[in-house]
Amino acid sequence: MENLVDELLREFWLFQRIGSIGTAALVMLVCGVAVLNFFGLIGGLLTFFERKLAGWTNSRRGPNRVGPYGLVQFVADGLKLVLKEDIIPAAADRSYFKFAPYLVLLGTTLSFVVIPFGPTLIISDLNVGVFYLLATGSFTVVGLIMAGWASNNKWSLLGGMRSAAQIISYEIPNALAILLVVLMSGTMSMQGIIRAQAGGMHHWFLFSSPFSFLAFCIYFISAVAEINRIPFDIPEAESELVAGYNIEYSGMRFGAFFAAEFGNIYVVSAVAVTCFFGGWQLPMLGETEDLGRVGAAVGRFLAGPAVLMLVMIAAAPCAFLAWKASRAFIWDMRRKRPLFPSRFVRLNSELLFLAFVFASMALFLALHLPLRSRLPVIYTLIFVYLLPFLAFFAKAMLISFVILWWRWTLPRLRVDQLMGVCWRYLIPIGFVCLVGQGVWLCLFG
Amino acid sequence: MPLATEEMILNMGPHHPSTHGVLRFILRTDGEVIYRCRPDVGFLHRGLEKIAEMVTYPQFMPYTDRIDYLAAMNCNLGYAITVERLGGIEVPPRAEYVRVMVAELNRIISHLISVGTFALDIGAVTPFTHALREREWVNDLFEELCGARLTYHYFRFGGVAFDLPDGFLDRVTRFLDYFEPRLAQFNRLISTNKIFKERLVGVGVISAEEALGYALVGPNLRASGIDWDLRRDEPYAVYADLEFEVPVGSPEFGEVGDCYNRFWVRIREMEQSARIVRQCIARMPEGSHWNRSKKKLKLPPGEMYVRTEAPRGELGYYLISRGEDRPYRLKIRTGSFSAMSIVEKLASGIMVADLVALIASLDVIAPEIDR
Amino acid sequence: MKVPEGIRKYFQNIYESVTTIAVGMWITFKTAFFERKVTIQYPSHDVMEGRPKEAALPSHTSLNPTFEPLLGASQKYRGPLNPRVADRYRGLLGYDEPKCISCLLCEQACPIGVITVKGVKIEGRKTKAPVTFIIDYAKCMFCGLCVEVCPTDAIFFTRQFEGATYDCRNLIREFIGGELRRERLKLAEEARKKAAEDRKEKEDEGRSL
Repeated sequence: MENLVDELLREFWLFQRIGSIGTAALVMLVCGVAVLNFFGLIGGLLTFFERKLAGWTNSRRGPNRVGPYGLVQFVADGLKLVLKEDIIPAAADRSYFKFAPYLVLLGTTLSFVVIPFGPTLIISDLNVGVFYLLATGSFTVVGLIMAGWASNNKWSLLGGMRSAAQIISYEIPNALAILLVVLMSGTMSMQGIIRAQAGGMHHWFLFSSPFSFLAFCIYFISAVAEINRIPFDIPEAESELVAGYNIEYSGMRFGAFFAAEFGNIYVVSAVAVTCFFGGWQLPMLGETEDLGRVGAAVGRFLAGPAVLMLVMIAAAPCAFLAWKASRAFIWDMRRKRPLFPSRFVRLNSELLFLAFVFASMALFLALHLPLRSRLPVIYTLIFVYLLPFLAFFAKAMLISFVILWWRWTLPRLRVDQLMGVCWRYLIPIGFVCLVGQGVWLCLFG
Repeated sequence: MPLATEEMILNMGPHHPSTHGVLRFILRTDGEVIYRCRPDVGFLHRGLEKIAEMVTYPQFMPYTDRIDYLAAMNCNLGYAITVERLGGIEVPPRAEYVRVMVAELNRIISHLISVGTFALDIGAVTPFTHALREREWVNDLFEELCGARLTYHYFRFGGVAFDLPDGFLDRVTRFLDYFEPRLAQFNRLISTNKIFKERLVGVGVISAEEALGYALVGPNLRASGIDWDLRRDEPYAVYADLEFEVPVGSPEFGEVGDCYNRFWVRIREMEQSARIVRQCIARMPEGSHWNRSKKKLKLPPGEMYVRTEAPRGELGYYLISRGEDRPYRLKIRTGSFSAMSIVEKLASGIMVADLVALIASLDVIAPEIDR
Repeated sequence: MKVPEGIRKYFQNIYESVTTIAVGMWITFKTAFFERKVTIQYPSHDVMEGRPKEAALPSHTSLNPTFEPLLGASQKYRGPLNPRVADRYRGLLGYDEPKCISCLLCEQACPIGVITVKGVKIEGRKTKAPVTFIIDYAKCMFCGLCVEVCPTDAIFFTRQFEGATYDCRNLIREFIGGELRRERLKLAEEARKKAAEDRKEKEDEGRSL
């Protein structure tokens, strides 16, 4: 972000008028809004995907009524939470009760500052990136205990206490695994860690050495414990303490906890991707030059006659659907169906959605035709800026998927067993890995 | 100097996701470890035994469904046998085999819910829904057999209400062929899961003497090592002609008498019930399904106590008749009621999470406790 | 080399955890992506007929054959369960007035007292005719004792299960309409008068003889 501010100040006279502080504030505002929107969207989509996955693993369909394939469900859920009555228990500690969700949300949103979405897409590439993440993760604990205590409910108190013990304990193996990564990359900055894994998939820290693979396992398990997911969701154990520290919260306050949990899933997956899976790097391609070359090549290919064929391939389903729609229209008209909702629109919403997808693909490809000469440049830009972002997103989604998957497969651990796993298994193995990795680095460089 | 801590009185109230029905436990804990747990029952008391004194014998049959609605066929069976023994009513052989077949199918689905909710209380959601998915098959079968999916009211004095529809036995066989591999898959999913074992092995151990002393019955008793099953030791209906094993708790599945053994006894019982159903299908005789008499039923004066092996243990009906068309007194003895008595003894010194596992392993169901 | 018991158990625990968790994850994965879903999408699926409903929700097509085989919740049910309510299903009670003979057997058979019947003697039929027939669906437990004893199959089980109402009083249903009841009561009154006259005539005859 500092680079962006400097660049803007240099290039555009408008920002020079506003001054450096003004520009910085403006850029901060824009970045904050973008990231918070992303956080909200990702949180919502993850809740939707969790419900769909929950349905599928239980041999049933997930939500499929609200939009095409149920995709609008998370919007409906959010709207419902906003519209609900905000109940504060009479004997609760009002100020702490109201403040706790904000602390928990703060812990999650602060982590987004150092998440590297792309080679230059990071709000602030702090040179203590991972250390900052470990620090902000601790806000959540304070929030949870505050929520548990302020609810004036013994069950929430139990949940809050358990979660405090759990999160604080699991920060140690978390830190150990991250320490190992820092050892291997030599820097704590997130972009630095990613760049240290350059050169192909075998350079990813996941595959570098058996110790780092173990470190990934330790990191993953302690991350799942940090975000209170099964098998470590004792603080919100549904069948024992109905929602634990969440019991007394309703409406958007509960929505804040909920969004924070799912945002945390994404943050934790993003950190795992950064540290162990090479971040935004694609398996075969290096950084800017490689990407640029591939991009230019793709652009030149698409500037040729191939694009016409691709447009026709993408447009064919559209044409097919349009033909089907017209036949359906005629069928409806013959039977004198009601006019509202419009005869033409009374189509299957999933069908409309698919038609929209194919139509946008065809339109996208059709736009290549007038821009034939500029395509190599455009594709270079796309490959250099957009593709790493997509790669990062896909990898983080895959790891989030595993975290969601665990929820529907495993039972939960009892609180003392949870602590046992942390102190008796993860921490000793973490230390062994750390020492072993040091030896490995000495031997194999 | 030791830290002074306060005791907390927690109310695991009637509304709780993991007490099986409306049960209340008043816990005195120090946060996690329970000092004393007092069960408070009676929230689902509907006065069934009093109702029995006011309605006639056939009219009480639907009420027996509601004693243990997950195993309604077995409750019906016990009551039907009691009245038939006291009244000297004959049951045709086809009806006897149909009775055993549906009772064992009902045992399968009752145990499915039992192990499913057990896994749910331990935190795994998927085994619960998988168990319910298997249960839906049998619900469909019962729906086409007698018209209801939960409270069947299928048994009558002298037989069963409806004859088997066409192709029913083939569909039952198809269900069993589908079910046995699914049970094996269920075991791979949760029963052998390390986390599940960690939660249950060695928890809530009930020794054999304790089990007998607190009058536990059914799978709870067998898991503590006592080899007693009414179907084999005091046979009724056609159980004497059928071959099946009685699973007893063994050290192979954790400690004898702990929650894990109780879980596994139910799983193995499901396998044995499938075996019994297959034998019933193979031997199903032809004939009438209901020895129906047109006369109003009046039992001779006397007493009769009949106990049958319901999925939750021994279900006993003690009937006192004064020669009228309705009972003078009907006392129902259920297995869940005795299981509640042992919770207080076992609960001191364990954690809240273990208490949840313990209650789930005893497979109590509130309507059986309170009637 | 003999490994101490504790250390052996330590690594055995780790090994067992990893393998059983992996097996569990594979089973869940298989169920999620490679098995048919068992959901019967009521209410857009007509469970009385066992096939998708016509345009149950605004966003679905009618059974337009052009779109029917394509995606959506209006697809035919392909899961393993039976998507149709069984024939013997004990739904809400139905009443066939012409067949009813007011024998009151159903009222006596019901353990709860759901049915209220009143019948009158009328000219022209051997059996009594009902003037009120009230079923209180709020109390019915669908046991079927009334259906079993009815000699004429006047009361029977429909396969209807959608009986929820917003007002409890809507659950008490009177099956004999006002007009029919008034007509029958009138006929009954006439029959009684005629019977009284016949008796008087017989008495007079007897006295005159």
